[in-house]
Amino acid sequence: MKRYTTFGMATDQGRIGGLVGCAVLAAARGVPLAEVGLLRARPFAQPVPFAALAGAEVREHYRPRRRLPLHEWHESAGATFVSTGLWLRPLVYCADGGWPAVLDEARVVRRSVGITDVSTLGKIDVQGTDAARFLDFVYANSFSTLAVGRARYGIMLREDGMLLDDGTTSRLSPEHFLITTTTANSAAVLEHLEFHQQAVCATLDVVLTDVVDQWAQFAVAGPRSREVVAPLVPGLDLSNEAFPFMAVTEVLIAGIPGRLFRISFSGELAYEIAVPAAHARTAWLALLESGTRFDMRPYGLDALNTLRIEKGHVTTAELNGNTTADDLGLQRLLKKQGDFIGRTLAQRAALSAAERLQLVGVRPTNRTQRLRNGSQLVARSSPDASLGYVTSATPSVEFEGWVGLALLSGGRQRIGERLVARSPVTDESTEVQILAAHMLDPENTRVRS
Amino acid sequence: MAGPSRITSGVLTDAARPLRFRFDGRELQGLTGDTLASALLANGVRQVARSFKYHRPRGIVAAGAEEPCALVDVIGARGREPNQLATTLPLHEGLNAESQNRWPTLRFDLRAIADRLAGFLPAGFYYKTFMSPGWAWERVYEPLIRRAAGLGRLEAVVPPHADPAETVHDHADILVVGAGACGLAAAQRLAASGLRVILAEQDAVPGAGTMLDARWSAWRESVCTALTRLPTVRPLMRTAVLGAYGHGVFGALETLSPEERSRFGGLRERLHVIRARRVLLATGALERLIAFPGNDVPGVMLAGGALAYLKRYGVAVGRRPALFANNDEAYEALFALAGAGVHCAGVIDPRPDSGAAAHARALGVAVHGAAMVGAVQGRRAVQAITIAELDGQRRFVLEADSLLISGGHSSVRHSNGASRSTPSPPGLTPRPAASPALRAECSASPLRPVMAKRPRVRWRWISAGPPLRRRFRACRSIPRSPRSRPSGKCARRARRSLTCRTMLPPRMYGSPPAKATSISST
Repeated sequence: MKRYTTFGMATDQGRIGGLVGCAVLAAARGVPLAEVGLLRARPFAQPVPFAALAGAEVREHYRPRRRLPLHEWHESAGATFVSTGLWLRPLVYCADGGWPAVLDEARVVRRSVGITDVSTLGKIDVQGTDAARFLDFVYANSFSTLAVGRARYGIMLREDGMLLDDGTTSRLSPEHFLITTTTANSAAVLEHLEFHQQAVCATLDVVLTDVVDQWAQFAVAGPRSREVVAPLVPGLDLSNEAFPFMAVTEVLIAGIPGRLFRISFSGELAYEIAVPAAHARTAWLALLESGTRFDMRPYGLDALNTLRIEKGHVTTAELNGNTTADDLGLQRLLKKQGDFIGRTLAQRAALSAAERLQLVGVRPTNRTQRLRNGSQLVARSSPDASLGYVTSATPSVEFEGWVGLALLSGGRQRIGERLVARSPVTDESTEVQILAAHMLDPENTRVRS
Repeated sequence: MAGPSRITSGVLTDAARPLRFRFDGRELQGLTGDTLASALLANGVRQVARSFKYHRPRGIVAAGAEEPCALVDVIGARGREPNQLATTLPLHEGLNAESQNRWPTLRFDLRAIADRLAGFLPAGFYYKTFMSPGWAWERVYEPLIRRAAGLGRLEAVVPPHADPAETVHDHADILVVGAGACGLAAAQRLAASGLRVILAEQDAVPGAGTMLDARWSAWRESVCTALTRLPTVRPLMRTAVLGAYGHGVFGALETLSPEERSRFGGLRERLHVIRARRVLLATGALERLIAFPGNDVPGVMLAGGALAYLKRYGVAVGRRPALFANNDEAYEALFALAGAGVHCAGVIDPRPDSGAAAHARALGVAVHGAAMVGAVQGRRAVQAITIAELDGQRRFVLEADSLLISGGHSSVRHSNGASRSTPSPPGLTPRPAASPALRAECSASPLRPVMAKRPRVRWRWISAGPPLRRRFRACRSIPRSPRSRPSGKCARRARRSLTCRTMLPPRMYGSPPAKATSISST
């Protein structure tokens, strides 16, 4: 009836003629009106403009911008900003952009020392007598064995066994941990943890607090970073023996009570300094001052990306929701004993099948050719059958030409092979060499120096 | 007086403040307080639109948000906004409206050829017709159908800054939907007992049906004054309740008046999310259509709509109206028009005789009992009506320029949207279904002079929960004067029961869903 006569679909939605129409229908069917019933009204009772439904959540209000505590400083230093998550992060400290400026910043880190603002990383404070048990449950690796004053890299799975996020977690005291997450996933990870705390671990004594806005965090990275940080933390022995890789402590930094972490995303000797957001500028300027002897420079997200691609560290480009721990070569992190979220489904044989897309490094054989994100990896013999794709690409400072990370079918078995990276968008083909993902310093000697 | 059909002063219009507006390029005059529809009728404009498919001429049918035909484009600083309802669009100085779904003009619409071809375009023909050849869909059919579809045209001027808009969250013990006689009385009593009441009314002013009879004005004034002095009641005018959702959540859209709009920085609409423990639907009734050939000719209008145009805006919808009704209540419009000096052409009533018919005859109006309308003559306006007697013996023609119709009343059910109450048909008897406001109007009609002496509203709770019913009984025994403070055992009990409820620990998912509560007169 409605379909063929559009009965009840006029602008009054059957208000005036509805009953008559139903009566006509009842007469046509030869049944009483009560059997046919009336039109059932559904919201909205009146037309509603989209503007009223959207309310104030339009344009810039729909997606607020989060500014770093040091936003003004970055701006005055000539940074170009990029929106990641909701944050505005310095991309490169150069107005006209381009790779040379990025490579200059990255080169300073590799050769001497650089500093970058990593305040956007998600930070979740976990406290309670059951904090360690909770982390053991939500992370695929174990945290109850972590010593106080140490940090550990951890991976978190979804219930379906896929990777959700990664990051370092530090143990500040026996019942106090600090989780860091990737910038883009910080809200999702917090939601994930809060859900499981309430729905699955309701009996555990654990409190989660989002502290991303409360702490400003800077990474000082490079071979000379120890010499930059040491003067600001008098009384703390930063030697490799006393404060080794993955050490954590609470300390006065330039007179500000803060935290010092020896963790590295760039693959160099590096320290991360966290201070309360209100004191960000004081600490930052003190670090810059201390770094002038080594020509320390701030570096942006692009340079950070260059450094981590060379090192083979993954970020959201690889933690894309379709990858497993095995795909990214992190399978040894999955603990053997004890339950954790995603354990059962992560053990599905198909998730560690040899032909799955696995993380590898790629490098053009012709050093002058560039790599592009999203290029499809194909064999020269069958150029239309994709074997995988390039997830991240950058010109390199340590290697000649470009390097990249890729997800390649059976990738670990193909190391040493030569494939072609085809970009149908730009119609480019580049012959590439397949490498292990950890292209730079696979033994981690630099971060431990 | 603005316009030839403005025969008296209306409750809402201000004759001292004329406004100028344009419709299809014609400069016209209306009054402050008019809607676009009432101003058009005052100027004698009968045809305001074209129908969706056959492009038949369309006039104004009703006087409120239930209007199915009178949609117009409004051209303003934001560009062209389509599908604005003329019957609820407040008139303002310089308003520029255009009819839609016609080309080149409203009077001469080339696409009206569809009406002549109606025999080849049966209902739903497009589901089967545009199948082959396959290639023609994208190149021929779809572009053509897209051009023919829709009513208005959207030509938005995108401003550099988004217009402000806001969503607000309101909380109340009771949401009263509709500020007619019943809603007003209920809001007053409930608020006086200490309950927080939100009174939502889609009209710009409270009163609804009470505005149609002068004898209600004193009562209305006194209740409205009392409401403004009660801190526990929040009247929301121009606010249409859009639907009932789970857990006592209701959506409501408030359209701001031009004055408020400038006060709130250009805000046009405000979306209210109302959380109420209980709801009282005092939404009144809508008049029913009667199906007969030609009931869409401009000039055929609901009798209640004609009454509203006369009483609210002082506009006679015709110089020589006829009435086609199967119920006594509809005669009210005829009596009011006759009282205002309009010569009525006659009444067609399928019933052989009735009290209202006798009253009409006493006023000198010809009543054709046991008859119905066989056809309406005229294309762009009613010119005459063919009357057919029910026994099939005689057909004759009645000269008239408009036809007021009424098939009885149905209670308004649109607001209880998502609450999943299954609507049951009230039957086809011409008894008005349960609107206290309407019944109150009826009781105030000349037909029942005894009841008209003092406005009284009686009601009955149908599905309010027991605690509320108890409390409500308690409120009822409070002294009637709004100025006296509620006191006595019952009022104390009412207040105590509210306190007890609010001290209960909060439930996990908020308060229990408010049942859809209907209200009806006894």
